[in-house]
Amino acid sequence: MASKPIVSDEYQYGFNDGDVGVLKFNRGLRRETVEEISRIKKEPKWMLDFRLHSLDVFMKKPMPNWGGNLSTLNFNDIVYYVKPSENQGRTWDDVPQAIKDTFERLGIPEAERKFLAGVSAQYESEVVYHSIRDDLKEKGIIFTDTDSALREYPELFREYFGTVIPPEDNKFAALNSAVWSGGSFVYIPKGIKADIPLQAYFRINSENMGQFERTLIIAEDDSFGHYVEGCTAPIYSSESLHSAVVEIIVKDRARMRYTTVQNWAPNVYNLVTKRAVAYQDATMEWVDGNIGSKLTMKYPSVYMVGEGAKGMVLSIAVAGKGQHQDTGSKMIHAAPHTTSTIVSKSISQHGGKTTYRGLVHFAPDAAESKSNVKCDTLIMDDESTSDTIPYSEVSNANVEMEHEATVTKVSEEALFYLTSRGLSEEEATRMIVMGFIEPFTRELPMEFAVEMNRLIKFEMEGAIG
Amino acid sequence: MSEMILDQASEADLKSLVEERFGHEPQWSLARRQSAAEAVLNLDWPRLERTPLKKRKLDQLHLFKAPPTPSRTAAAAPEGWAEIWLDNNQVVAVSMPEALSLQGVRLESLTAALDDPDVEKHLGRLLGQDADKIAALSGALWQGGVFLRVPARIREVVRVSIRSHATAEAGALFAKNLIICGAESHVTVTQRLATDEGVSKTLLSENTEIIVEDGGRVDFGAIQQCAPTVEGFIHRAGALGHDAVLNWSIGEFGAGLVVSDHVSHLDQPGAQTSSTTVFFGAGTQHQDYSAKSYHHAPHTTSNMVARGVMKNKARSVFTGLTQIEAGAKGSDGRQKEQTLMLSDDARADAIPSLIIDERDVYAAHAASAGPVDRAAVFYLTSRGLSEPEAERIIVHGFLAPVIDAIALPELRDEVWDAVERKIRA
Repeated sequence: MASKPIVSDEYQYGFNDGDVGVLKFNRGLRRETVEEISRIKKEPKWMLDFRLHSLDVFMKKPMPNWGGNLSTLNFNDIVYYVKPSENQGRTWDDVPQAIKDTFERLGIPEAERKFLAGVSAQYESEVVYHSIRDDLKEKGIIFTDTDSALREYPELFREYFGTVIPPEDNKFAALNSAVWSGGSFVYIPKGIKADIPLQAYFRINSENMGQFERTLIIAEDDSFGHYVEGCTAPIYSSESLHSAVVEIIVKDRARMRYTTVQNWAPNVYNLVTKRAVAYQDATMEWVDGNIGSKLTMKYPSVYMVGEGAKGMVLSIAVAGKGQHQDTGSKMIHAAPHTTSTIVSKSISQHGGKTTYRGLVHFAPDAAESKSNVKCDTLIMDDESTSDTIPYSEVSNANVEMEHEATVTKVSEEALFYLTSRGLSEEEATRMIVMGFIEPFTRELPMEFAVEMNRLIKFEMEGAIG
Repeated sequence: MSEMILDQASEADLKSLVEERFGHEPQWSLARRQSAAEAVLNLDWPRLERTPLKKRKLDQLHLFKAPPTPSRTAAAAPEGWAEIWLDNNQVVAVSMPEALSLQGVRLESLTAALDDPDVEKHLGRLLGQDADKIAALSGALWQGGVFLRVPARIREVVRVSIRSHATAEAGALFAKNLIICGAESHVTVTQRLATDEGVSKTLLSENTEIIVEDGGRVDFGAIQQCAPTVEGFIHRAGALGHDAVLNWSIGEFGAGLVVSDHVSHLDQPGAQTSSTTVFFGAGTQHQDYSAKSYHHAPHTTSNMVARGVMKNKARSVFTGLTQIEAGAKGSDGRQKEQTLMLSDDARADAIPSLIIDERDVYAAHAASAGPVDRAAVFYLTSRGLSEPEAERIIVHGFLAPVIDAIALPELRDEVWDAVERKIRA
């Protein structure tokens, strides 16, 4: 069978609208850079100290010697802070036209017109446009950018910030902690259900821009929320770095879902630390799609620290030419009766490489806990490769762990059946691929599912035509 | 029997020890020993992700200047079997059915076979002596082992039993075994490793290389029941020709620390390997196992199965690796690892990896860990069985599918006996 790309190598959103940044730092990372970021943001002393401490940690920590190839990543070739406009856009009219144009092409205004809760669009390093629907506000839900949260909710912010992912966790978490800017802050009070998804779009614009957004989500007892993050970025010839930190606290009986569709341009290093802590009977769900970037290293985690906590990860990774998707999940069972599920679907094509790297850990206290992990990979052509590296650590006799993985090509039998029914090989292949990722698209918010299906269908047709 | 402690030995000491003990060997062998001796002090102990060796004080090992003396003699071999007995790596007896010697089967001490060009050609091909300090020590000081060569196209199955025993004060034992199965022949090998109970620590290094030529088949079974004072480093590797078959059946029960791996290189189209590992950890045993299949050629097949039972404070790591290279089209690689946990203080890690560089393949793995099914225990105790007896039956049920699949009947029985002893321990 001839190889057919699922997502074409031509990057659809590869337009850029010139350099609109008002304030842009020189390349490279120094102590002064960090001090200057903090000064511009008029941050309290403790945050400056936190940033400087994190910078020390970052400098001391060695580069990871596993995962993808980071050898061409040059920390001195990155701009660590860009502030695109003087004021935060309160209404759509205030947003600069060039930025609007970009968002139009990404479909954000359209999305907002429909049913979105609030749009918190991070353009370069600051949140430029932010709105939140009044009914969320009435319920007491806080949905704002992280910089504003630090100013407006200082105590709440300080109580949780950096508690789930300390700077010492890994080199890139330390980097983010030193230079973070933007991101979302979500607080859902006790017993409150946010019945519409909270959405934010992120986007890298300037060449060699590093994006270091920092998201902090707190779901109080018995609450529910669904946060949706999606991103695309223009093509640039030199490397770009995206290194976010996402911390989520899900308290007793609360449920939180975090959905990402990551479609960075193929020159972006996407090195992200995402972790949630789930307390008693809480549920944390990560729905994680990785389609873009040059290299993604991202392993959404759930630390189940309360009895009866649940963790779920549902992910897809698509690696095309020059791409390496090194993704997976960590499930730490630290309390009794905890349950985790990981479903991972990977597709590699056109010389792309997907790696599933995961850990399921049962601590001695995790009696009666269960974990189920399923990883499936489709390899579309002869240049593409796939690794599956699952770790499991069991320190309790009374747990159940199950892991399954397969690596296959598109089934010739299924192709034969579909083509015998009159479908072309292209249509049949597409149908099989769509079926393969269906468990993922099914869980996306409707708009995202449509976007996802359209992207895959359009790109496949485009490349085949 | 004078001795030398490893951390007090200089390179010159090691080299003169090699000269003193192995100076009579053919030039090629002596040269390899000397180059390994030169490397010993420059190489690190094996670096194992989940088995730290630092605290084990391996450098306090006693390297005996003369090989430890044999203490036993052989019993009669089973009917139709060729059998070789080793004591402290010295061959003490070989029994060979006449029919087999007439057909050119060779079974003897490896040190006595160094003049054979096959030994020079294949020894160390799959397990080099530069990987780490133990590999280099073994390269320099290996005392003995088995050479088995079965000529091509022997019509009946050649059955060979290797019984290896060590005394408690052996210090550091390094064995090398080489098995060559000629084209289209079929060899069954069972290897038994056991040591006396003792008080002092013994390093047991056992390297086995298996060459399976085109269309040949080797069924290799091994059972390890060493004393808790033993720290074992057991490496096995096979290279498979066109349509060759290598089946591993490994039963791991003894030793305080054991690092045991077996690797299959599927070098030619149509080669097949299967492996079954049964392990049982108890007490404070630390067990680090791995099973690896490298698909270097098209239409090669591997299937690796492991089942382990963990009790007390035992710790196990099982690493599986299925690697399919680009171009190995139509290959099929599978792994399945299951662990039954009998205690909260035990720990079992599993890392079943797939590294796939080719589209046209099927690769899969499954791993699971779980406790004894309490409902089953309840059912059995309600029928009048005591709880330990119920647990015993459940362990049996868990292991039966893999143990009963062991192709070698009397090895199968010994594995069951070993399981039984571990359950009761």
